[in-house]
Amino acid sequence: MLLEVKNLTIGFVDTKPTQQVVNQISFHINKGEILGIVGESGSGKSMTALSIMGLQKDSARITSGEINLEGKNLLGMSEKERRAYLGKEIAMVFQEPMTSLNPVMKIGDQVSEMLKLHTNLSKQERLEKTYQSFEEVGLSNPKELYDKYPFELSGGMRQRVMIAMAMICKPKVLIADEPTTALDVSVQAQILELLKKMNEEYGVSIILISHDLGVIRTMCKQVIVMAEGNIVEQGQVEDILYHPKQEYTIKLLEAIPSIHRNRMQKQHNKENEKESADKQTVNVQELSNHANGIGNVSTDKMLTVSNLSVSYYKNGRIHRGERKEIVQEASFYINTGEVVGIVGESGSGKSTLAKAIVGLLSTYEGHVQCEEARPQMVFQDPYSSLNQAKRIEWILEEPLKIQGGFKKKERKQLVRERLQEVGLSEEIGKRYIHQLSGGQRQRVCIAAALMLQSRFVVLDEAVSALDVTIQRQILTLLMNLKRKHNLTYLFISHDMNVIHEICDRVLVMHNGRIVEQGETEDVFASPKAAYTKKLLEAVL
Amino acid sequence: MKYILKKISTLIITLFLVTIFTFTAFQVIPGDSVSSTLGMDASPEAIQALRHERGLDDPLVIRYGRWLGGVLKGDFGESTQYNMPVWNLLSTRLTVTIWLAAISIVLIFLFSFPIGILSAKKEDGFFDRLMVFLTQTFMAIPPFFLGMILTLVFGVCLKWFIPGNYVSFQEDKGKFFAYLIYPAIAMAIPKIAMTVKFLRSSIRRQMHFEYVRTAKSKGNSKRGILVKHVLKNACIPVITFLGMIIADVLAGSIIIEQVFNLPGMGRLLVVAIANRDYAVVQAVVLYIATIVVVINLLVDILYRVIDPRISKEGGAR
Repeated sequence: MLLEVKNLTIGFVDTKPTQQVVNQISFHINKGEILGIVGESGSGKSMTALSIMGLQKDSARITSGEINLEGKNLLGMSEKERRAYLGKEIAMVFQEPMTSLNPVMKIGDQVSEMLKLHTNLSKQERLEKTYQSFEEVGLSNPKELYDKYPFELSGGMRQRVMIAMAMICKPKVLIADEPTTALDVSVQAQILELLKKMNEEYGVSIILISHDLGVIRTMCKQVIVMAEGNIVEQGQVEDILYHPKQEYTIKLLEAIPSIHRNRMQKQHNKENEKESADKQTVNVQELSNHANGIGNVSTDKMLTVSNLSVSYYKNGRIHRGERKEIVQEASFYINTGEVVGIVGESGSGKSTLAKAIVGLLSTYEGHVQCEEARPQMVFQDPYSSLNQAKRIEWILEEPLKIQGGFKKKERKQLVRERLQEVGLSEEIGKRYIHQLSGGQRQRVCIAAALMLQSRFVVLDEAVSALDVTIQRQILTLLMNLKRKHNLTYLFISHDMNVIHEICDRVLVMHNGRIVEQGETEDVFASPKAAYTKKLLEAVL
Repeated sequence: MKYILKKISTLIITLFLVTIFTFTAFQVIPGDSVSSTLGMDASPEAIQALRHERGLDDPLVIRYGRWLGGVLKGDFGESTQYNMPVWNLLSTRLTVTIWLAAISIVLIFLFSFPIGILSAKKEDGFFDRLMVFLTQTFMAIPPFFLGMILTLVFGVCLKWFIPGNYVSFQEDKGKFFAYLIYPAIAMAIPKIAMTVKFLRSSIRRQMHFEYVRTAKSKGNSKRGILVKHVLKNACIPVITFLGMIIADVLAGSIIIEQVFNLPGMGRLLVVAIANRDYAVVQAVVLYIATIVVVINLLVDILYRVIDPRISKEGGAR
């Protein structure tokens, strides 16, 4: 037993009574093992990981329990004693590699700082060891890289740097908190592979925290399922993922979009599945199929895009900078009542394309013809895309005021109706955005998009930032709304699973070009473009 | 490098515009040095003669050209009040003003950074709370009032210096500084309070960023996190602020020089304006403008040194 967590209880002391976020949990990890902790946000999984490092927020207090590393209780140590373990014996890789690195410090210095803190190596030795660590995590040109700053690297490279940093002192335990969540699919697989390599080559035990059951399945043998601060289930991955005993685990498994589920549950007996079909989680695929079956999809074109190109000049000066094509000659159409997906990695130009379509870009070449005068857009991050200083009802009312022609009473009535329609109570209208949960915020954004009765909505990574079960609810809501109002969606996502589930047709974008388009089922079953194949392979 | 050259060229253009404005502004204002030299009862002939002698009857453009040409050679003209070259008048005053500002600036750096860091080290601790109270208080006290209190305490009561007295740099360097330290303190204290407040809030904001958590996960001590990681990030907004403070101290010692009766630029400017000694006024204004513009240039350059994201991203805004 390398690391043991015993009866750990963590509570927030600034609330009265003290709110328990982690409740009497116990688990352990052996040498060379990879242990997965899975759960939704708020389940206490990150809090548990952070408390092993002593990094929990000041307002969170460990009220009881032990964290033993090779028999020594880390919680019984003074802060100074414990610091000697951080980075040396236990290291951590975080979710967001951009914000987790110091933006104004050279990459190399950040990595070699570990050696400065924990070893007596000379400056030259530290330098060489840093170069070596870069190579170990698959970063070429270590000398050049040493002097770079985080903003000059891609997300995947930054996460490699984080891993190099965490591994340079050859720790016994590596805690990886959602290490791939912020990365593109194809990069995700590489980073997981790298973590596995570190585990195999150096025998480092890894605690892998993720909300993604696919990640857990490929990486771990042992898994812990957490919900509301409790461990609801723990054991072998096969047992838990294919024969879940607890209701929560079953619910979590169901929330996974279809590709996963198909793969994972095909091997599983069908009866169990039927039994577990929960009333709350409506199967979206059925819904969307149903909606299409009714015949809402017509051949009337809602949107026709021909030869759309968007480019900009680096340095912002026409004569100096090089021209950079973001979107190159995109042509496609969307029928009324259809859901068309655009899939691609970050930087593929999918968001730029969307902005051009809804009129948020003033300069583009080509032709965009949209039947809907006011196409609406729902963004990924509802928090920063809504005005934080205004009440929800004000935000929803604003488009009506701008358009004019409504009496105050009518406006209020419409706001109430929309709120109700997206499943929010009237009382929510009085609140501010920061007082809502992520799911509620996204519901507000959807309500805002529907205020002016638009028939065409562009959803830009609208569910990407949400937990799986919330994601499910929002997708269900979108499908219900589509059926009710005969809406047309352009659904942008990097998540192949979600696209597969709700889209009638799909466009695959890569480096600004549409490399493939067709019926969703066809594209997923027999992808033609090499890039599409690569994307599908990368899906775990 | 290209950036610095570009910045310097805009600096020169700015200063050139400043010379035009200051020169024409004082030509447009009614009354000139002749009337203040000869008095109200002078005969028109005498006035005309002196105007001609001083070259005041030439067209504006010619007079401006003559003045600018002189300035470029270091000749700021002749003071009509003291009947001596402006430069000779300025040089002794500049010593006082620049030393006064330099001592103030050193004090600002010496105190505001350690206090700001210590304050942020233990958020809402005793020291932090005390400093919040003190910065709030001292920000509200104008320098001239602080100057009066310092004079009362150290001059009148403790008799560490003679109020209103002054020893020049040439006479006795030690005494020169001993007399400058009190006005410098009076100028520095409110600025220290502002800088501490600004730095403290900037550090506190930075402490919530995720890279701080990473630094902690590496086994850094609280001090290590603050000094090695947070300070540089926290300084980025503070630089602009300090730039304004420094420019203010260098250019704005007018009142404090009056309070302590120091023969600096500020005093010179006040007297020169009263006597319509425009050559002197123009020179002082040019000095202040140059200080402000040069400090701004230094701030811009320093920005790029500290934050690699600005320089390496090229012209991206």
